[in-house]
Order: sequence, then C-alpha cells, then structure tokens
Amino acid sequence: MTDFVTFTIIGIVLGSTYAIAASGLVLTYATSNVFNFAHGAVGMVMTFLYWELYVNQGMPLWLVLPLILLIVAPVFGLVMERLVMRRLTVADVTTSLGVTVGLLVALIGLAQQKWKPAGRSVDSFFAGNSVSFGLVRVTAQQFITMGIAIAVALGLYVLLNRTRIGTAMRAVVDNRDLLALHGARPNLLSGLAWALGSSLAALAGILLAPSLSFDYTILTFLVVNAYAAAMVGKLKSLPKTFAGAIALGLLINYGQWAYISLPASFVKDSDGLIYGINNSLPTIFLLGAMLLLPQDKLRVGRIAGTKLPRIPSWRATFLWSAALLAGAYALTGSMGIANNSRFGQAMCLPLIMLSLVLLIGYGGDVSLCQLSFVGVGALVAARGFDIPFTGLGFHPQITVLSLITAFLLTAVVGAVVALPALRLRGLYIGLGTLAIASALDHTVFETGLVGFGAQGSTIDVPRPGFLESERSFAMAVVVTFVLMAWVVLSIRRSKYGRILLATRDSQAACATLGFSTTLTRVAVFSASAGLAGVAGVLLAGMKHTVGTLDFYFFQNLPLLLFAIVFGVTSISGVLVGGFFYGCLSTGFLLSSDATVKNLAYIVLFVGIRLLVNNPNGLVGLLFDQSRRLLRFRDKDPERTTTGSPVEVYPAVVGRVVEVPVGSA
Amino acid sequence: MTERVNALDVIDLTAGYGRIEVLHGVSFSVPSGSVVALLGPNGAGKTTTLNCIAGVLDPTGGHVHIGGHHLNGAAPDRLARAGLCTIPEGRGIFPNLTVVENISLFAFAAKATPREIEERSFTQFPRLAERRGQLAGKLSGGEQQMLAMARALSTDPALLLLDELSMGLAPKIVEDLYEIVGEIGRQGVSVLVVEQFARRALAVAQLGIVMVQGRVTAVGEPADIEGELSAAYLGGAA
Amino acid sequence: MALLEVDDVHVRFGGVIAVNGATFDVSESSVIGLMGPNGAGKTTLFNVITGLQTPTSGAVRFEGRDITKVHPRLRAVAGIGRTFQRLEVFGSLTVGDNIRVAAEMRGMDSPDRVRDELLERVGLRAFADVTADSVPTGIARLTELARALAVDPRLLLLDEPSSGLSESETDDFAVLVRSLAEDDGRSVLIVEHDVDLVLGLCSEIHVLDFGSIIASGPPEVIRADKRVQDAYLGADDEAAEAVEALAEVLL
Repeated sequence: MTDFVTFTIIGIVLGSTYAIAASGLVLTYATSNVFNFAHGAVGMVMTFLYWELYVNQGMPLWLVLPLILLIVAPVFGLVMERLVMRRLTVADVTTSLGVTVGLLVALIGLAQQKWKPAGRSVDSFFAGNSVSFGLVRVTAQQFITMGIAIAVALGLYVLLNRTRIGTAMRAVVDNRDLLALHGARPNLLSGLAWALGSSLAALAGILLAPSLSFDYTILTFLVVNAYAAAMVGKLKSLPKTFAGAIALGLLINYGQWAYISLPASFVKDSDGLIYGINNSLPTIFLLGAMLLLPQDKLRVGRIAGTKLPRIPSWRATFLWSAALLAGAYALTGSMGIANNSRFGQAMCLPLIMLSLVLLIGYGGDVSLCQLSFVGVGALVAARGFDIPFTGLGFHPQITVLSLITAFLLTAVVGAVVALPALRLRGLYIGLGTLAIASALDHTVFETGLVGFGAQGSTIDVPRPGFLESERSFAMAVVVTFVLMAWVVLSIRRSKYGRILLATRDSQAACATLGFSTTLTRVAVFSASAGLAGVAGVLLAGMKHTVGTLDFYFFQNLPLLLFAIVFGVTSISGVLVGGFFYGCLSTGFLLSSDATVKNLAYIVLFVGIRLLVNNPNGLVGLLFDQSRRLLRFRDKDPERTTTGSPVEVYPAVVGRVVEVPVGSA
Repeated sequence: MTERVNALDVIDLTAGYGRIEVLHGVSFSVPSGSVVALLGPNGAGKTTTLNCIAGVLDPTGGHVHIGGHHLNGAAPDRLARAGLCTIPEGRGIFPNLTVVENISLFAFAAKATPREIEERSFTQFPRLAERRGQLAGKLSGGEQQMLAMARALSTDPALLLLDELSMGLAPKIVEDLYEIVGEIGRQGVSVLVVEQFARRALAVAQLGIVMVQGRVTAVGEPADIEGELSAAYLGGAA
Repeated sequence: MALLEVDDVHVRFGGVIAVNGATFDVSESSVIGLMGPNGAGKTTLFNVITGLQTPTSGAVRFEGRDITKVHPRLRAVAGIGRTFQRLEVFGSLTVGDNIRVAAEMRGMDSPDRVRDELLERVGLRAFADVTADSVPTGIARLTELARALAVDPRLLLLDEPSSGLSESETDDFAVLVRSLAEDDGRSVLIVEHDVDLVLGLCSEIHVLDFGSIIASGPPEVIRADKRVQDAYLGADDEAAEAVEALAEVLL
C-alpha cells in the first residue's frame, strides 16, 4: 500500500511536469499550426542557463527564476516566432518538420558548445524539507511541482476563457484573416503564444532538473513524453492534455514499480523477455494515443507542387557513376588504412539517405525511424539470421544472402511500421516514426536476445575475405551506392515512379481516378526501409563493430536534416549531404572536434531557414543556378524546349498569352 | 479643388490568385455617406475586389484610397483599427466561440468600451442576448449573420464593406438585414455592399455598380442599371 | 433507369441547411447542368455525389446501386470521374504523363496509346512534354479532363470548368464536352456559374436555390423561368411572398 501511494505521488508529480511542457506545446501549435519539435530543446537550453546563473554564477534564486521565466524564455519565443515560425504556418509538413528539427539540433549544438559535457546538478527547491503522511514522504519540490501545475492549468484556463486576449488566441485558430478584420493583431497573438510556450518549456525543464542528470538529449527528449500527452488532447484540448500527462506520469511510475517487483531474470537482465519495455512505456503510450486518432480525411487542396529536378539521362547517369567510382578508386589508393576506413564510413551515409530519396523526395512521406531500419539491417549482418523451429538460417556474415535477407526483413518491418503511421497526417507520421525508433532502441536493439545488448556493448562483424582491407570494403560501399542509385533512378523512370509522384502531388485526384494511395505509400515505405536495411549491412561491415549507440533514435534527426537541407529530391543532393554529414561524424577531411560539428549544426539551421521555399535543397539550388548561367551564355536551349508549341500550334499559344501566366 | 473626398476610391485595380487573374482593371468610387451596391454574377470578381480593399489580398496593380489616403498593402488589422469594418462572405463569425465571446472581439477595432459594445449589440438584436452563451456555430444562418452585423452596428466604422450578406438566407431575413444596412447608411456611414441578389441591395443603395468577368460594365442609379443587370446575370452580355 | 439518381438529399452544417431535399436524375448520354447563385448549395451537392461529403439524409444511386456511403475511390472505380475547380493536376509530371499515369494506376492495357489518343482529342499534343505545374490554367483544365477520361468513366462531373478560361477556350471546351456525350455516350454533369455556357451546352438544367431545386428543364424553359430570374436577381416583392412562406418553415 505504501509503495502504491508513493508511486502514485511520484507519478502525479512527473505527470505535472509533462502537463506544463505539453500545455506550452499545445498553445503554440494551436495558434500557429506549427508543431515545434524543438520545444524540449528550448526547455533544455533554459535549464542549462538556469544552472549557469544559479549554480555556476551563484546568482540568487529570486533573481534567476524571473529572469529566465519572464524575460529570457519569452523573448526567445518571440524571436523564434518572428524569424522562423511565422513563415511556416502555411508550409508543408516536411518543411516545418525539417525547420523545427533543425532548430532542435542547433539548440543542442549550441548547448554542447557553451556547456561542455561535465557532471552538473541542481538542488531541489527547499531541499531536505518534506512532509510525511504515515509512511509516505512528500518533498517540498514535489509539492511545488504539483502546485505549479495546478496554477498553470488555472492560469491558462482564465487566460483563454476569461480574457479578451485569450478569446482572440482561440479565434486565431478558427480564422486568422477574420480576426485581423476585427482589428486584432494575429501576429502579436502568435508571438504571445510562443513567448508563453517557451516559458512553460523552461519551467518544466527547471522543475525536472534536480531529479535528472544534466544531459542534452535526455532533457530534450523528456518532452517526447509531453508530445504523447499533447496527442491525447489531439494537440488542441488543454484539459485532455493535462489528463493525458497525469495518466502518463502514473503509467511510467507503476511500470517502474512493476519493474522492481518482478523477478530480475524476467525484466532486468538484458536477456529477459520484456527487458526495456519499461523504458519505452511513453512511446507505447504515444503510439496508442495516435492509434486512437481518427483516420485522416481525404482532402482537396494541393500543396503547391514541388518542381522536381529533371531525371538525368542514362548517359549522364553512367558518366557520373563512372566518375564517382574512378574518383573513389583513386582517392582510396592514395590514402592509408585509417583514412580509408573513415572515407568508407562517411560514404555509408549517402547510402542510407538514398532510401530517403524514394520515401521523401518522390513519395512525399516522411520517416524519423530510417536509422532504425539501418540498425535492423546491421543486426542481420552482426548476429546472423535464423528462422525459429526450422533450423534454417545463417551465421553472421556479409554476403549476398545477408544483403537479401536484410532487405526483406527490413522491408517487412517497414510495412508493419507504415500501416499504423500512414493512417495519419504528415506531422503524426513524423512523431509516430520517431516514437517507433525510440521503442526499437529499447525493446530490440538493447536486448541481448535479438539486439546488440545493453547500451555501450558492441558486436564484431566478420567481413568476407576478398573485402578484408579497408580500401576494398570502402570501394564496396561506393559500388553499392552506385548500384542503389541506379535502382532508385529506374524506379523514378518507371510507371511506379510516375504513380509515386502522382500520389504525392494529389491524393484526392488519385482517389477520383479510382486508385488507392495507401498501398503505394505502404509499398514505398517498405521498399525504402529495405534499402536502408541493405545500407545497414554495409555500415556494419565498414565499421567492424556495431552497437546500440550507432542507431540511437536521436541520430534520425540530423540524418533527416542533412538530407532535406542538401536536397532529398535528387541523388546528387543526398550524395553531397550524406557525405558532408559522414565527414562531420567520422572526422574524414574535417576535424571531428565537437566545435566544428556544433557550428555545422548552427550553419545548417540557418541553411534550412533559407530553404523554406526551395524543397530541392542546396544542391538543387546550385544546379538551377549553374543551368541559368549556362543559359545566359547560350540562349537557344531554353527557347527550343518551352518555345516549341509556338511553332507547332500558333493558335493555341495565341490564347495562352491571353491567360496571364504568373511564371517568372 | 474643393471637391469632397470620397470614402473609397478604387483605381485601375488588378488582382488574382496564383496564375489566374481575376480583376482586369477595376475602378469605382464610394461617395462619403452613401450606400453603394457592387453587383454581378458569380465569378465576376466582386469578392476579390472587396478582399483587396480590406487588405486581405494584395493587388497586383492599381490603387485603393480610403478617405483620400493611399492604402495599398496596409495590413487588414491596421485598416480595421482605422475604421474599416469588413464583414466577409459566409458569415464573419467564429463558430467555436460563444456569442458573447464573439462580441467581445469587436472591441479590438472600436473606441467604445467592451460593455458599451455588448449593450448596443444586444439592444439591436435581442435574439442574440437570448443566446449569449451558445456557440456561434450552432446558431441559425440568420442569427449568425445578425451576429456578424452587430459588429458594424456597435463599432462606429467610417466605411463598411459587406460581402454577400444574403448568402443562403431566406428572403425575409435578407430583407430585415437590408433594412439595417439602410439604417446604417442613414447614420452617415459609407457602405459598400457586394451582392448578387441585386434588387434587394439596390433598394437601399444610392448607386449601383455592375461587374462582369473582372471588369466594371455599368455604374449608375438603381433605376438606370436594371437592363444591364439582366444581361449580366442571364446571358446576352458580352 | 437513370444513370445517376440524387434522391431527397439533405445536408446540414450546425444550424445552417446547405442542401434541402435536392432530387434529380442524370440520364445516359446527356449533358446536365447544375446552376444557382452563390451559397445555393451547388458545391455541397457536388461533394455529396463524389463522396467527399456525407449527406445528413437522402440517397445517391449510380446505375441503380446505392452509393451514398461508398468511398470516393470506389465510386471512381464504378465509373464516376471528376475534375476540380481548384486544379488538382499532378504538378511534377508532364501533361502527357498525367494522362498516362491515370491509365497505369488502373492497370489498363496500353497506357501509351491512351495518352496519345487523349492528347490528340483534347488538343494538347504540343504540351505533352511540358510539366503540368507550368502550363496556363486553360491547359491544366484540359489536362484534368483528359486524365479523367483516361480511366473511361460513364459519368463525368465537371466542377466550374470554365473558371480561368478565356472566351474562346470556353467555346472549344463546350464542343469537346458535347462530343463526350454524343460520340462516346458518356453522361456529363456540370456545376458552373457561367450561365451562357450552361444554357448553351446542357440538354437539361437544374437550378438550385436555398439548397432546393427550384427549376428544372431545357435551356429555353430555364431562361424564361421567373423563379430563376428571382433566384439570381433577388425576388420581386410579389414573388417573394411564396418563398417567404417556405422560409418561415425553414427557420
């Protein structure tokens, strides 16, 4: 009984912090239609700032708290709204996902830059003070946390329901233009929501800080739990969000209780059957909440079409491939073992990103669990594969057999992931796949039964004899990239590529032609997962040893970010973006110093901010510019392509001129 | 020049959505203190014209002068605070807010206090007072339009823009609403009514403007433009 | 038996009645028009037929089968095609591929032939290799029409097909639509605000006002109908009384 009460109280306290964070998220989403992935990162940075001022600089608490909660955090929210979020209210999901993920990554980079990893801690408020109810002890910090959550709930209720500003904030959601016609300033209202939102994120972080280690990603992703709570309220209803947050807090703590009560062999050993379930309760909760969301309705209204880069001719493809192979051959010949190893590992990232070209670039869907598919592929290479009860299977190896198995297995996993995710809208697909990635970390990768073993442990991967040297294996990675690029391009050229683009451009139109887009989307998700699995086998071989941390779910975010920034719609985009990211993380050509890396994140974020209107990425932009320059020298090619109808059908074009064409 | 300043001048306005140009050079004026009806069949560009005046849509060319001030490109909320009251097509209300919450938002563009605004609204439309706590989306079409009109009546605008007041409403209600428009006009407010039910609007207007396919085809007193109207609506017009 | 039967359809949004007991048929090989003033319920009724809107009550039947609750996609498979007022072309494909991909989606035998024939028929051969995103509105509308035809529908619904078209384009369009009924034996239902186009093209017209059909008949009848004039111009006082009686009931 005492245990029950204790875990209930801790659960409610934890739920209270989730509720505070989640209400900020709901507030900003509701008023601006932008889901802020970086909400947790804002809280994280503010919490570090709190440590800096309070612990490190020794400023008094009465000064630090108002300074952060009433000045720094709100101003940060306002600046975010003004510079970034305002432009995203009408952007498509991939863009707004990319931008807020970029912000998240940049904030983590910033924090790592400013506060180098070290042991940090903050005392609880009124540490040591507590009240006992029988055998149960409630600390002052716990009381304060619950009290603040109640105050936030009441405060938000009064603001939204009893004040004109609050009424206007709800009206912004309904009809932004109409509110402007009433004379209210919609931008000011959104700014206010963002200010309040980031203040609430900071508050949640500061309340959580004493009970947690100061870790960039842990603090950032505690808010994933807030996402789950917000999802219960469909990102709209604050009361449901609060209820969801408390329920989640309780669930986690009862899980903890069960965890310490159950036999160790069952849950604690990494070989235990349900090892890791405990850690993934929030994500399971999130997935459950998402499954309860209604199926996305078919909507008319096309997102402004993305003009894809032209398909390169076979001849160009062949020449580029030959150039890449020759270049890689010459480069690897001139370098030593260490550099060849780094080069090979760096080249694995373009290989992984190729799968995103299919999924995001052509299919218009999004996935934040691509690296987990890579992990599944790596598992096949590292652990071998056997089909239970049949005696069929193989030992760890890198062969055609393991490549095929990895492709098929990850394709199946991809399809299983896609089925629930694709019922939903883009944003939820992003959240859902990230949750799946996190769940896979805990329930598969960290187990000894089928995964790599507990965090930090690794498995050796045997290479085949003829690929033993670093150079030969690096070349194998490059060759695979070329072959897979050909596969992706052939799909683009085929009937399936056209269907894929059509599905992306207008699902409503597909439906009115009698075509089910669901099957296409599941198929492309599955195929893309399969390609990622193949990349996983090669990555495992290239690295020699692989472990859970190589596929840590957080790594999905920079992966997506680099792909989008450099251009996920073209092979050249992911080659450059992937290689750049690979160089940063392996230290090939570039220093692997964290400073360089963090600066790169910040630069990237600025890059993606510039790219809101250019979905083909930096590489796409580069190609467009160079083509324009070439045209400047020689005007003929342009004329002959768009001008040909004039010569053939002058009558038709005479009419075209009458209809104003806004193309310039 | 001692000419009296017009409440609204639209000069050679062009505008469109994406590649489709809808207005091809529209010009007209609303004299101070008069009610003007902007008429024409569906797709003539009436609403687009209104959106350009209200600041919701940026014109691609031409000028909008309100009270003699050049106001192209001003934000809609700034125009609203300066005394331009726009009631858009399809009920200018927030369906997920209650009646009284809708009314509380009127105060953003008014000099009057929120209490005064509420009082005026409920005096003019006692029906709304009965339903003050109800969600506006649950009101009947006529009541929703009354709620929207309450904004014009309670905030003392200098210029009132009304778009398709009668859309989907029964004639009796439309008649009542137009009586109110006439009343607003008599109080000295300049009004531009966009309407396809021409006769109803012309009954209260001093001036009628006919638009067809993004161009003004006729301007005149109500009696003079009847013929032009039939042609515009039921074919035969070029 | 008519190809499409719309039977006493009602649609209600909160306190607003958008469609109030609309009933009409579309017979084989005919071009039928649906017109009415803004807010009369045309678009809502159109969405009920294509399946984007579920009616509050009433039924829609196609070839005698009740399709009121059938998913839009399966209606398309059954033979109902449509175009969109706000264009829904596949913007990243060429005009030719827009047509070809439709045939490919439905697993038809020779998509290339379907494409070539339709490009010829709607007069878009010159635009075959131009990306659909960069063609003018008129061309995009024809692309949508050709794409809808690629899957060989028995009934084609056209949503405001003339908006954004110039006069001469509209004329060409009318000729094309007429040939769909006369030469192919398809039925066409047009929702359109261009009165001239509807009166000139359709064999039968239904005029919608306040969500109800107030007049039906061939163009001559519609043009002369007093109620139609009132619907568009606003009622004269005498005529208004009859409608007012109805309105009292509605409120």
